[in-house]
Amino acid sequence: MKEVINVSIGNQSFALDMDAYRRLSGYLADVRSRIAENADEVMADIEMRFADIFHEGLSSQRMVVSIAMVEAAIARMGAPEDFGPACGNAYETSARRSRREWRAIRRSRINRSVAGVCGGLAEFLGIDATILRLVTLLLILFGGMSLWIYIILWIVIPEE
Amino acid sequence: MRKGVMDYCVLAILASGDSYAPAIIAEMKRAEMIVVEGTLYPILTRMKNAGYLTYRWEESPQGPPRKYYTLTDAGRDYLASLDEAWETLVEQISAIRHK
Repeated sequence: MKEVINVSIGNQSFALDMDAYRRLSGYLADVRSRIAENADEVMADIEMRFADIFHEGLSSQRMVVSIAMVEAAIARMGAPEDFGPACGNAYETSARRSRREWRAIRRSRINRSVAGVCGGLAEFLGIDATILRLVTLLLILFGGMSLWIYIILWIVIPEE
Repeated sequence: MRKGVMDYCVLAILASGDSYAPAIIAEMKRAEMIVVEGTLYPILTRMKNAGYLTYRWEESPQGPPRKYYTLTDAGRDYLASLDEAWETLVEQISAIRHK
């Protein structure tokens, strides 16, 4: 089972596998970055051609475009290098770079057994909260960690 | 050099009748002028903006409408000058090679 994404290519609707979508959008951004003049118009033509090629390959509108179809279409259209060197027209790639989200440490409201300190830290670090709680408890009981550390974190880390 | 020759080919193909991108590509592939399709689109758009070509939308039997490209009068003049330049070039090269 695979996740599918619906996109419009050359004003037609297509369903793409997630990996097919990533490959195609990366390719189109790369090609755009190499087209010096009239990039919007040329890219619209190229997208139309992709729509044509996918249309040929799908026996029904309900079928999903696979990564193999994307690779075959790219082989027909040509590698990004065939379009010449990059010339700084790549607004799509730079937009993608800035989308990396910023995370903050918060005491969890949902994932809490005392004050949400372990739950929040576990979410931030991407680990299991129960393991972090067990480790903390063992450190406080046997490892010589002061209970004050928990209380200070309780005060310092804001609640969600 | 190669770029100019590509322009020449596209104009020459369109001189024998209006066409749309995939058909132009097929023609150029047959002559082994291009191997990948994508590189034709920047050429078409550049020549359209230079006034040598225009296009119209035409319904296709299946799928969405297609862009049909036509030579303009400026395009015909340009093609004629390219024909002439080509003939001259071929004569000059063969004169040197068969000396």
